[in-house]
Amino acid sequence: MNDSMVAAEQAAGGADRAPLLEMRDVVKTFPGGVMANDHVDLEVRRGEIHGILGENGAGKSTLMKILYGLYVEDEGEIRLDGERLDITSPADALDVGIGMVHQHFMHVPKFTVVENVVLGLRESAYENPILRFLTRDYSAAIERIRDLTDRYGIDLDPEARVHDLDIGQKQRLEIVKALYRDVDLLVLDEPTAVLPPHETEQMFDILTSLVAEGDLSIIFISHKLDEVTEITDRVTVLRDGRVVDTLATAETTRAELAELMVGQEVLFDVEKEHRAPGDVALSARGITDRDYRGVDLVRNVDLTVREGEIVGLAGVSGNGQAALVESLVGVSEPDAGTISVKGTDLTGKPTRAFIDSGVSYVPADRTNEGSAADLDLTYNVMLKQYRQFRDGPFLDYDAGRALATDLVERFDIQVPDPETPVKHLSGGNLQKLILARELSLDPDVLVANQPTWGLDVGAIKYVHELLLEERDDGTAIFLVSENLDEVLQLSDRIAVIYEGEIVHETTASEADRERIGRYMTEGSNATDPVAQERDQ
Amino acid sequence: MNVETSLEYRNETPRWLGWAVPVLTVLAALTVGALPILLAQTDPITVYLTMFLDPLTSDYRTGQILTRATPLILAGLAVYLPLKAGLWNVGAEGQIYVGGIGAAVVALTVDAGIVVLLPLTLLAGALLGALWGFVPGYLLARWNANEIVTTLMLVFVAQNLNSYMIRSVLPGPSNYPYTETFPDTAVLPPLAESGILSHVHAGVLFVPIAAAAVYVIMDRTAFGFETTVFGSSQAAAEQSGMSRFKIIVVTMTIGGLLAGAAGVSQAAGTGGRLSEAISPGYGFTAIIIALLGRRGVPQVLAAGAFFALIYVGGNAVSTSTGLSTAIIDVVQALIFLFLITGEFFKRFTVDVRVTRDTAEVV
Repeated sequence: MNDSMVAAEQAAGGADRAPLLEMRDVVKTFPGGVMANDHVDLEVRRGEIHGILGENGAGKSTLMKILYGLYVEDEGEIRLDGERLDITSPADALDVGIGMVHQHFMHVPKFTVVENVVLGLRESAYENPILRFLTRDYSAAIERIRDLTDRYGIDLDPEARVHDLDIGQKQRLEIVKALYRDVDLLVLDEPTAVLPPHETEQMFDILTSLVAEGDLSIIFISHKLDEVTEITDRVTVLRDGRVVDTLATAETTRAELAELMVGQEVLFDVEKEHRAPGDVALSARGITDRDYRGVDLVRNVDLTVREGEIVGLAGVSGNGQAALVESLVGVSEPDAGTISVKGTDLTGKPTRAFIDSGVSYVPADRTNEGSAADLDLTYNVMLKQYRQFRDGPFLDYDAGRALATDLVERFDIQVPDPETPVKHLSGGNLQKLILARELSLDPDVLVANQPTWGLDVGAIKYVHELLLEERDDGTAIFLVSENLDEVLQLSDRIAVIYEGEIVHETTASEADRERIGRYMTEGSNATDPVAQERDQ
Repeated sequence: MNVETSLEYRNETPRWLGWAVPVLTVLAALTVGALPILLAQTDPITVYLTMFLDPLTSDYRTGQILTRATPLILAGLAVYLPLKAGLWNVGAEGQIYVGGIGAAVVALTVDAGIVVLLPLTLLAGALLGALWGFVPGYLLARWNANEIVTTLMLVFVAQNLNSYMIRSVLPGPSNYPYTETFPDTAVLPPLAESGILSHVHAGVLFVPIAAAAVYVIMDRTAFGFETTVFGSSQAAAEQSGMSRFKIIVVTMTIGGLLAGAAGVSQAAGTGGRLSEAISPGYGFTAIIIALLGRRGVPQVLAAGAFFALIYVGGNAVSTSTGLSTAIIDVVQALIFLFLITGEFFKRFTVDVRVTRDTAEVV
């Protein structure tokens, strides 16, 4: 290519050139009939950062998994540079130049950065296959990584061990892994979900420099409006599996995007009567929990949940919610602190004692922790209740089956037949099953972690209704959710967790969405805008 | 030509496939096994007819099948039960050996009538086997020591302990690698005076007892429920308040006990003494039996009986056709290998597409 051609092409500008990626009429339906992608069209131009915006469950991840070969589309086609692609595995995707940075990092902690980068690649200084097999000469690879990191201003030492890296560096490693494989298109799946705010800025700088030369395109998946407006050139909004619109970011506003993302109406009205809460049902004092390295996951958390109220815990995922929840339901014992249920001290007691004291639990991980996925409905319904069906050492499975039939009917759970392993149920039906089980225990305390994550709208509504009904029956509910709207809609009181600490507490009537958002992302550094105004 | 193969995980295994796969895989193994037999200039048809029909037509050999099936099924259950909890007891072989040791120590040192001595012999062997299962179970539950490693290592401990017992503690006549013969009061008697059952010792009765017990534990008790849930998902079991410690330790201990009973049956029944060859690898074959039979106790029984048939049939082949035992071993190993591979087809569909080259498509 001579200089004039390059110049001509640059002059033509991105908009007139054929798009790098085209996805046309992509349809993906999951068992249970949920249409995760409903004739989705997506066009990504060369050299742009293209945002994909949508709420949890809008179909963003499904679309990207199709692009990356993790799912196969039911209908539709994908073209890269005009050529039709048939991608059935991530290896195929990488071959054609599509790289992906997952939310959950995939590397070998004991290896160095360079070892992780070249993992799976068979390049070597030697032609001879035996020499290639026997040698481990990374000097060329290290040099190449240094070139890449210098060129794009990425702060990463190729010879560092991965387990010594912090979370931001690990993410940069993922980006370098893709760059090393010469990708043309880099997909970042909710990259900021795991990052503290200052790391987010650094990552945005890197993304900007990556597209500066015009060769690389980036798909940036997010449900955070401010990030999308800050970093993207264009944005495609997904809602309920459909494309609502694709817009140039500069020509739109946050308010417009928010409306497109959520729809005109509020998803659904939650009718919540005001009730006066009763006695304290769940009380936790000074909960501190550390991981195996001694790093604090939860620091000195105090919590009280009364009968007949929902306390919502808002926070970006990975800020200690998992450890806190496991402590509250007795699955793991915290390093310090006391927990009591209805006045009974349960500190240090086994999980069983928590269940017997009336604590029910809806885990975030439905298929691994919430249910035994390979087993059938009866087993899963009896998971905790089986103790009631004991007759000496023996177990009355008939009683279990009767309970299963009863719950299926009462909670309207769609199951092909009772013998089917529950892993074949749709997410919504599986969650109904788990809730049915936990609520049929007639709990005094219900701890629900991400109860609507990944569910379709109908199922979300149903879960919300169940939680409110249960609250009205006098159960103390502790709701953990990354979805701030959910927390705001359902809770009577709201707490915000940031880096393992409760940084903000408020009531439903006094809750300010924006302020909570700031506490979620900045912790106690968030300056209180109200206080600020007063000071001025 | 381009050959494309694609694998897909089956969500459900069709019922017919459950039966067709073992039959077809055994046939395939026999077809491949015909090759070494032909190389040894023997007629494979004769060999196979002898292998599968001879054992069923002679009283002695039919009795042999029952005798052989006893340790195979007991050890198979010893692997099966922990497997239900997701645990790999690959040390049934060692548990068989210590079962034999326990039996021998009591049989050769205690002097009592059959009513006292025989049960005591059984108890000693079974309990020592249980100890050999308890230790890896405890190490796993308490310290997270991988049970595959610990059970396997304890096999070597058991085998060498056995040699030591035979050579130094309970040495037999002259320098043969076995102990004195047990007194009659410590030997499992034949089941009948004549007929098939005269070739079968009372140890075979352990099988229905053990099978019924394992079935009841797994399918009827609360502990079996907990074990099944734990085997499917540890996290679900733990958040439901089930005790990981109890499930691991108890299943491993019962497993050891069952394999220990197999050792007792070998020493007090088949041999009438403790020898260094108390088990020709029954404890390892048991792993395959448990894998093939992991859907339920009846399947374990069927797999164990089939393997016993193959073993006895192999003996019949070597005596009647003079085919080298090495080649018989090859055929037997092929059958095991094919059966295990066959499991793959129950879980995956394989789609092979052959297309002609279409010009230069990159």
